[in-house]
Amino acid sequence: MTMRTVLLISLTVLLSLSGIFFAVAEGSPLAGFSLLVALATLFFVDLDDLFAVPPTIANMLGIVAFIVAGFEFFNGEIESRLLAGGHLIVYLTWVFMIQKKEMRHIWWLCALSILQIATASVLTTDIWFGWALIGYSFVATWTMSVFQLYRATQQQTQNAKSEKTEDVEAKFIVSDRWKGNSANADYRILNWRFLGISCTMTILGLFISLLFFLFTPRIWIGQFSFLSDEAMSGRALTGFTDEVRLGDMGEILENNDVVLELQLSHTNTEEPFTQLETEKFLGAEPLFRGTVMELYENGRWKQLGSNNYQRFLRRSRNAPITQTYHVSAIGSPALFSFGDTVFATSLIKDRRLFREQFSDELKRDPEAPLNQDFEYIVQSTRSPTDTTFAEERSFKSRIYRLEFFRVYQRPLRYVPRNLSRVAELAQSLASPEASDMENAQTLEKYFTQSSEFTYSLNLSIKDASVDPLEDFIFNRKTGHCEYYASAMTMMLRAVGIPSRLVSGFKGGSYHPERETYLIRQLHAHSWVEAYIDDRWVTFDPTPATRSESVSELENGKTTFSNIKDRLNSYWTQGVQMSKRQQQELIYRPLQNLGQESWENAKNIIQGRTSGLKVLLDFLRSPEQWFSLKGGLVAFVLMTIVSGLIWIGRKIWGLLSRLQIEHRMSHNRRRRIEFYERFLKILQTQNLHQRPTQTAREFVESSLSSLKPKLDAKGFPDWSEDFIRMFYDVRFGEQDLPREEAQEIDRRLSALEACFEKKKETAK
Amino acid sequence: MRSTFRRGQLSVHGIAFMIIGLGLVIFEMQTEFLKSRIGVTGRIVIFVCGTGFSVWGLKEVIAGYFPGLTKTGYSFRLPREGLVYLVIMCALFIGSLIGRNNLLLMVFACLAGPFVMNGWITFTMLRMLKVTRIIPQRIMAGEPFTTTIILENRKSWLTVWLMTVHDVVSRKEDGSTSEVLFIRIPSKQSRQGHYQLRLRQRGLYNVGPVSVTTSFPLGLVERGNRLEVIDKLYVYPRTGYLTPAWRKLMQHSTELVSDVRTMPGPFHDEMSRIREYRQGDDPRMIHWRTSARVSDLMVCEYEESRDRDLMLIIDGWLPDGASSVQYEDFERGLRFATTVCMEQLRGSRIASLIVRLSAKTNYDWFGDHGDSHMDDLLDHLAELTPSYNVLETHLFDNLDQGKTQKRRIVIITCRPKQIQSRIQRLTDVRLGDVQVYGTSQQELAQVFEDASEA
Repeated sequence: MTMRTVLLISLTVLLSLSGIFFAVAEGSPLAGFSLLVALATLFFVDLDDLFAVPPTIANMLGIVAFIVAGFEFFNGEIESRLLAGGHLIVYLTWVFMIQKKEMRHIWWLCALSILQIATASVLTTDIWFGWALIGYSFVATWTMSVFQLYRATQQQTQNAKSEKTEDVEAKFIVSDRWKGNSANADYRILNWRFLGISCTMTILGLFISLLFFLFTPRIWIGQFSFLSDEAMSGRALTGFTDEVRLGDMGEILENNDVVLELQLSHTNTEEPFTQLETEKFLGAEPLFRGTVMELYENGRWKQLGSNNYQRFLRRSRNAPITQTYHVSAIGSPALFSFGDTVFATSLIKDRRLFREQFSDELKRDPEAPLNQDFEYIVQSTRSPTDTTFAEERSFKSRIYRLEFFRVYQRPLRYVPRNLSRVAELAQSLASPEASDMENAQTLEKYFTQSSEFTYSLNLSIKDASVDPLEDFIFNRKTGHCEYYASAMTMMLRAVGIPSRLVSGFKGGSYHPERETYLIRQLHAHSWVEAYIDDRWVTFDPTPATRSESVSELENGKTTFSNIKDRLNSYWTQGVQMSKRQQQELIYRPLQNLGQESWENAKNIIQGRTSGLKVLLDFLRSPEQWFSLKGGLVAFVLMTIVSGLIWIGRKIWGLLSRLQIEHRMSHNRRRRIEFYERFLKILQTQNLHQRPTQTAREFVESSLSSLKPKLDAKGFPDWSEDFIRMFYDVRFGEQDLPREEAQEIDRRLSALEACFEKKKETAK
Repeated sequence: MRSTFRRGQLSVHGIAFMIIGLGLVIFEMQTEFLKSRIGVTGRIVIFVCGTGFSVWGLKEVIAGYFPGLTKTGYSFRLPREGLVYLVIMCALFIGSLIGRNNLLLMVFACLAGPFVMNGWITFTMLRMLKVTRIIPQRIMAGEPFTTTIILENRKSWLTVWLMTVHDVVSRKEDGSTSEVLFIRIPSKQSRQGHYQLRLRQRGLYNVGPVSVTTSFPLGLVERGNRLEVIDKLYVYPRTGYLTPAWRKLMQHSTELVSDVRTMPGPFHDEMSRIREYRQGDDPRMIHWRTSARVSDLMVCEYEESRDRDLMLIIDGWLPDGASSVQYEDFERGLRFATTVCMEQLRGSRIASLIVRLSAKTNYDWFGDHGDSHMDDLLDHLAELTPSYNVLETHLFDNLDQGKTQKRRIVIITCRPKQIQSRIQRLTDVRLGDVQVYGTSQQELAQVFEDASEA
């Protein structure tokens, strides 16, 4: 199998994988056809060379791809805009695949494959994508490595072929043969060893990628969302904002972070509730009311934004229960309360708290920073929600009531045109003879008691051409609370009952040691409020399996399930990681560890603690080995050991070198002083003895080249004598007689003087 | 091969990094983008990154202009594919921040990881490499020759892949780069690669330095390491063929000037020496008189010697602002002179050759002092630089140098008419039979023929 064949097969696998991943994320088989196209082009275009689309036709097909994708973009719903971009990438991939592949085509296909994966990442949040990404990384690294190898060997071949080209000053032929005898480069290079290297590099690359992912600061820019060209104001990760995309809440439904802490106490005595009292007052699954959404359009909920905020003026004597809340920074001004709120106030100095008079939402001061925690108290009765407001409303002025019924309630009856199918379904379920309450209960049961609808956090789109709500009710029939609540809200409106979507939390757990009721992000919930018989009635259409799901998340399961859940949890944390979570999970522990290590180091340096004792303590407690601290200690120890090895090797090298030099100085050839002096003199004339010259040859050639100058100075020819004396001393083991030594010294001095004079004359 | 060879080029990516670094710092100072989001730490991170980018970019720019200033020869290059990859990465990163999408950020991280890994692997692979070059010291212009590059991987554990060795062959401002690819070199082993080169112009060439580059495994980042492996290479003028006309002229000239009397051998050669008889020697070669004296068979050894002593004077004169045709004529003259020298020395060991090079620098060569002199003469012919400042009188100074005063004198010059008229004005009788050759193709066509390239 040649290297090109391996490359093309690898490329086919890469493109097929990206197409399949995109198709699964999209929930449509379109991109999955990449597998068939890739296989067909591999056999018919690349390997058998049966046909290939010429560039002109490929360009025309590219234009067609743009037109088709443009049509999808401008005529589809919101999700379709993103999918149109993804589809364009898929179409272009096909166009490149059906051409005869040159280097640039392969590069383009790799780039398009990466873009398909990027688009798929926007369409899903499931954990399978993580595994897919790991697998894709392996295939991509292998393909790129083979491609790099192929390019290099191709260049080598091309260079060899271009040897005969003319009109260049110099030419070369590359003719490297590794291991000396293999003419078939492919056979030698692509082997198991190369595969092993590719895998190692992928693992290394993934490790660096993980560090990138964990440490890249979550500094979200602006308010833009992928699926909308409109700016979203104040969108927070938890979804409790004045505008949310359908499904946003799913981002936090597997997150175990505490978001709300509640302490209950008796208003009169200020005594805290016992666990029993707390659980009795709140019930099994209390609803903590948060934001209210009135307007629905194209898969997106918005608040009406009436801005009729009111302050609570005085504490109520009729509210026997005081709820003290601590809300973590969730990036939203929304506040939460349970039951019938009579009075609420902020516990933070200079911060105020308001109530929206139509939706009855509690919100913090608009000027309060959203990235800080907030504390407030709520006084409430033991009555159900809306009791107080309903009473208050009956005493309100005529203008208020007119505005409430005509202005506020009008949008609560509105059903978007593209939800006509949903409206028809609602009308078919409701009975004209039945009361509003009965119809509402019928619609609620349609979801809660149906075996067709299931609870899931999987948000894959089945049909992107229709509204996500319609896709949920008629195609997918699975989703989380936001989908159910939204569906029932629209269906209530379709039968003439004003209704709105409420987001908050459902459930929680009592923490006996802190005497606090803790509500986590996974308790986030959406439900419906319908205005029936002059008051707001709460309906929760989410199937009961939601409680099981939440309970499972809270309590854990078997070992395998635990591992799976743990992975799922890590995945969810990673996918939904906010700036605050990143700080708490990554930055702060590292900062603390650094500070702790610094303190320990200071103590050891200042002698307050023994370094050996710290090390022994660490080694004696195996539980510390596999912690962050263990990793740090291992890193420091390995660095020290590596440093010591490095220093040791350097010292060993130095000693070896000194020993060799010492040995060489003993074995150095006998230096002939007068010959060395002769060499130095001639060096001034830029004459150097070459390694290929014997002493005889050098003396002869140098003196003969200097002959005219020496003759001019009256310097006699003495080369033969000089050579004889040198060989006598050097090889004849003879000592130079005193007279001859003096004579040669005199002649060398004369020679030196001769050149010096020449220099002076030149000056 | 890269035919373009430039020194001191502007580092575009260095400038880009400087701008990015400064831009980051200014952006943070003006907008407090990171400070407002993650506090002072964010600002410090931006400052460190920005300063790092700027300093590194400045270093690259300086290194581009003054390669000698950089202590280490490591270089970094982003190929076009890497640039596109970087653009995709940046687009995904910005998209993830704008779209608040952690998964897109994950895809970005999955691209960034291999990118960094690629850079790190290439850097690690380039460490502890040793390049050795085996190259001839002297070659003839136009003759292809092979250079062997030995790349040794001195690392203790890491195998290196896809290393390209770029070898520079340069003369003055011109040069070319040859490449040798090494696919795989295991640790503590070496591999040999070869490239062939044909240099068409004479001169003294510098070979080296060598740079080793690699972009393995992904081809996204290319790093290089420059190693100071320098050699000198003399490229001699290309020898051609002397025509029979030259030999006739030489013979005629010899008859006129020579009074050498030698003992003719059976093949009209000259006797060189007497040695002991070896089986297979021609009996006619036996020197009976000596054989009788030493009581052993001795034979005469003969050596061909048809030519006689020659003094070759090369006039390295070229007019100021000479045209390319004149340069080519000059080079032809040198080729002719080199051919004459080679033929003369090859033809006879006892015939004398004296060469006078009179150009920017003057050089006299007396050829009867051993074989090593041949290199000196050819080295000077390779390096000879023409000058417009060559005095005609210098060509004829000290003509009585050398052992044999009765010899043929040949002058090769680009200004034959001037030299001829000068000779006519001179009174030296030895110049009466001087042969002056011009260097144009027509003038030399009768006696010299250029060799075609293989």
